[in-house]
Amino acid sequence: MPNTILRVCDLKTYFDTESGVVRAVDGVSFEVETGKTLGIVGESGCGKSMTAYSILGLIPQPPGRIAGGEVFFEDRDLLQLTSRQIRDIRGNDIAMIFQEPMTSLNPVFTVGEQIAEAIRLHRGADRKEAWRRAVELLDLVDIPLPEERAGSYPHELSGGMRQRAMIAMAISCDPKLLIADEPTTALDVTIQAQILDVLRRLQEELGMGLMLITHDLGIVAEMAHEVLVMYAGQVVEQADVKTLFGSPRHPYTRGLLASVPTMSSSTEELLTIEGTVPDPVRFPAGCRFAPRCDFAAEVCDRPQALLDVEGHHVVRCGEWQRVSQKDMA
Amino acid sequence: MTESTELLLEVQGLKKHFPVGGGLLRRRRTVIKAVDGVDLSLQRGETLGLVGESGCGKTTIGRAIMRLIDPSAGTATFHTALEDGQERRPHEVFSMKKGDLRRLRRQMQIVFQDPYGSLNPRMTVGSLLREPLTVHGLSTRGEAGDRVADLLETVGLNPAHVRRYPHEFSGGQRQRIGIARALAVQPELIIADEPVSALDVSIQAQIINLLKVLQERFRLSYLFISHDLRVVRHISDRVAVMYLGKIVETATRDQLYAKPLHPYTTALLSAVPLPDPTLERDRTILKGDVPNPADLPPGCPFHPRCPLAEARCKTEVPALEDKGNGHRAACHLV
Repeated sequence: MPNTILRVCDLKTYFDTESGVVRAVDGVSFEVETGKTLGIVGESGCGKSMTAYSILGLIPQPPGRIAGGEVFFEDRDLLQLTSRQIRDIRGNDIAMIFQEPMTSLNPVFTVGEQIAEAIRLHRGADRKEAWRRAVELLDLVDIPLPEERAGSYPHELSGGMRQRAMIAMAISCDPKLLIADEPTTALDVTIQAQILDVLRRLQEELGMGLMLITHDLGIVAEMAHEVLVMYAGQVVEQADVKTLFGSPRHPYTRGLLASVPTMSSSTEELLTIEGTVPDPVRFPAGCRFAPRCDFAAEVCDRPQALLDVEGHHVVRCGEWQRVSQKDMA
Repeated sequence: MTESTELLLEVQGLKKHFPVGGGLLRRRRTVIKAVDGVDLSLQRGETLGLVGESGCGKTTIGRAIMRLIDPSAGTATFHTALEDGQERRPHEVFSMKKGDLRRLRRQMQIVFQDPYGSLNPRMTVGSLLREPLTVHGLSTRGEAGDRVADLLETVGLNPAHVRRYPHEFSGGQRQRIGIARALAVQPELIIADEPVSALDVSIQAQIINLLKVLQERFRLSYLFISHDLRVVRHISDRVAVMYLGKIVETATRDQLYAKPLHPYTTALLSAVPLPDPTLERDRTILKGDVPNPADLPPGCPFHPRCPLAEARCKTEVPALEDKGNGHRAACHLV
């Protein structure tokens, strides 16, 4: 596939803790295409952020370790690279933005200096040229008065402006892949709309692949082309965005969608998923969602494989046909 | 839902100004007008959703009503009985003396966003729930045990877990403990300050449903403070939208969501991402950031970001007026 920029195969990231082995990422596979957005959605602790950290070699080892799998970026397996080699890729070909930009920006340098430094480091541009480019980038992410703002320290900027500065830094080296981990979670909804707009526009203009990690199904619906739903360290469903929201097959996906309060439904009781996420040290041997699942049957005591449903749509549920029949009834 | 309209709480002209700066070296003191002249009312059994973005003053309002902070101006009249068997009559919260205030707090309780931060980690659930009962002299040692078990069951927790500590519970369960603690004294009003914002969506739905069931059962009134328009829509009878310390629009839930009048409300609603990829939305994306509350723009506080702003919006402050059917908005242009 010529368009695939990132291919993750059976990735396993485990953490050795006092109470046992936490299988944070447990056999996750997916691909990100150039110019497309893959949304990874799931609740806290499902392994979505750990998947991103594993790709970029940011897992603290120990206690963490990559227990298996391959992560192909172009034709190199990132998991086989030395930390020096991966550092060259990180911030250059693959960039990442986080939820809280304040923790990723250095408080003692102006945002212009920080962006310019990244450009000099990765691109070997001279000081003047790098600064000019930094201002240009700030303009590109819709920061008003970019020449002036380049001289601001991170604390002088609002949360939304900081996140823009972070995005400007991330795209400063024309990455082929941008990984955004809950990029708008800390922001107000009107500011969130601005940031998502910037991301969408940049992706189109720069043609990069975007891996967007979020807990918000609304954001996924608006931004993603392809969606991956994670639960307890595993992929439970994957499909293109319209299929996933239009005909979800996994009981967890369906429960998740039903529990989102919408802007149009009547005030009927919200459907909920009873119970809580299982303890990561003691995942059930069979389907990890079974203890909370309305459709749980005997087969669910065995581990479930990802099944191909219709065309390009996979579901980790042996009972998906029975689950889907509920629509007919 | 409101069966009858019986006024429970009426807040008028509430202001809270925080002085900043000053001190030895800085001569200039500025004032942040966190809440700047807010009126609101709440009927018995009703939920008023108070919605706005960070820094708009919604949390300050909740805390001022609880007298956790002292307001700079205004009145809050709470129609209730301070003792069992007494008749309800109006009590002015902001001028109340300590003793009366303590008795009044039996009728109003607050639930916070982060239950972990508001529950003492060294107390068991049992003692956490017994504490309000003892403080308010509501039950003897003997009865308290039954009451605690009863409360745990009411909020959907296992009464057998009474000896556990907060850290042994999940986030959603801890929020249930926070709710049980508020319910312990059988209040009439619960101020819920972002009670589900820290929770995952499947757990969020459980807590919202619980709050609705409890409201039915105990005829509770909620002041539900949240930044999440989807959640507010789901739980509220009426909604007030705040921007920079002022209410800019207030209406019934259905009026507000079907036909928002204030341009800020419109923008806020259109900014909410919806879980439907087939929707083609006509979105208003606001320019710029919320202004610094220490340096408010003249005229309408929203005018620098407003897509419709005219000349007079820059000079005249719009009043919150009835635009028909009790739908009130503070905007010159609607």
